[in-house]
Amino acid sequence: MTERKIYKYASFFIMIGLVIAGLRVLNWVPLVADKGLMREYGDIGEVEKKLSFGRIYAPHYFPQTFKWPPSRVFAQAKPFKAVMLEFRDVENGRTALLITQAVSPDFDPRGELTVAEIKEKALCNIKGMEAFLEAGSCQSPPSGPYDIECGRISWQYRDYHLRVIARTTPLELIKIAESMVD
Amino acid sequence: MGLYFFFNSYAGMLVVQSVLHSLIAMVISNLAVSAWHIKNPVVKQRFYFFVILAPVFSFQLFHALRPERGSIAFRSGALFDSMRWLNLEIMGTVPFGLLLLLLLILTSLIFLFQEFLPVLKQTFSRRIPDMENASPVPDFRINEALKSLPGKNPEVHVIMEDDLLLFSRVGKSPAIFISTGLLKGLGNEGLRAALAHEIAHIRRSRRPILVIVFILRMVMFYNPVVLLEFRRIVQEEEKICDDTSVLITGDRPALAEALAGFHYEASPRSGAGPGMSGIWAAIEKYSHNFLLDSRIRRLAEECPDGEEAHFFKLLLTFLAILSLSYLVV
Repeated sequence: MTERKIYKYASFFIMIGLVIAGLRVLNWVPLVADKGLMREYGDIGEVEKKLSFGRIYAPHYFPQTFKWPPSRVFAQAKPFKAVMLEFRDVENGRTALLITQAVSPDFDPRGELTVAEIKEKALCNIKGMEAFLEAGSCQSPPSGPYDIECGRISWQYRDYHLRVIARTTPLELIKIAESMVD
Repeated sequence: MGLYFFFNSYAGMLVVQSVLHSLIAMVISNLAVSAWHIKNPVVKQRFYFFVILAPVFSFQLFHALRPERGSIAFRSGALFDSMRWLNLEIMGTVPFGLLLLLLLILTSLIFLFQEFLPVLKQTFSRRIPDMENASPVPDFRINEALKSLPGKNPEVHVIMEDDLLLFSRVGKSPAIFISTGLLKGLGNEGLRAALAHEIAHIRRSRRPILVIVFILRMVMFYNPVVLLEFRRIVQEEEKICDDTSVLITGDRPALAEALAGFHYEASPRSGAGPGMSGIWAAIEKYSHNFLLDSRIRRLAEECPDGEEAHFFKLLLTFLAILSLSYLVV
């Protein structure tokens, strides 16, 4: 390859590098312009403090197979308040529990843990509040293999719509949900 | 909140990401053309095809490979997350998402009224006004010009009009249409070059790739980047036919002279009316002349480089487009 050809290839890759840098800057600008946009936080306390979120309903009952504190915390204040907590399995490190708390019931984080197959649906009671329970199998990641025990429970509590998805039995799921509210 | 949920839906993500991926493809293909100093319009066109091709399948492919690509977690680690900009409000009132939606609607309307309906009208119309008065009249100058051009040439019809008209009909019975006004204005060599250019259009119309590109462009009717790029591909097509004409006739100055005759100043249609229509006419006139001038300059300056040995560059560009697009959500 001649020197001239090498120069042309090098200039192409340098330009691609500049495009990547430009995209990174463009991706960062909105976060600087608006503190309320969806972003990752270090912990729950940081969300409560920086977004004036009020209370974040984290569970008090926590199965030992799940790792505390949450591995990732995402939150937004615009266009509506929403927070997502992601917990991992102690053994395999895969996402085992996802908790969302949002003003809108349609908030869908499209997380690493999704209920892929629903085998049973039921209404249940969470400390006097009606909740919707779905039990079945999950995929984590969504392109990965099916898990046997998995479920989702959702209910309205004060200003927020709460949703818990966990790789566990329905009974454990209800226990987690009950420990989140007063 | 409605906008938020639309852009978060499968359809919303598909629309937004197809626009962004075509933008990425446009930037990278232009960089490739610039980095490798590609001047041949045939090769340039191949690079520009990516801009129309990539957004048609990229989102669906990425989504099939990794369904969680739309998740908050994936977005937070992406190179560019469109949701940040779409939710960002200008002066705390109008979100950028609304501006994008308006742009998509405007692009769709432009496509509908400037491209789709005219094509539909032409396809289903039995009579085309300009062609109505045309007939394959035996004209000494045209016959002489055709004789000097190699291969089997199409019929040439003369339209009795003073305006400068030259276009071709492609398909089963291809033909070239030329107005008496243009015929008067062109010298023998210019006429030969102009006919060679139209013959090149007819020959190239048999290539299925151009039809495929047009169909893909129709699928992306809402995409403003594809709208611009398709028009650029059409401009490159003109340059390709210019080169073919020069290859056949070996006469660059003759084609340049023929092109110069199409300047709007020389046309009786150049008058612009008052108001908005006048402004649009002036813009149209300016862009027509600008593109014409660039083709004339090109004929005076450039000798296109070869078509060969670009496969690796095309592959590299395509991989760069796919890799970056994957990380743009």
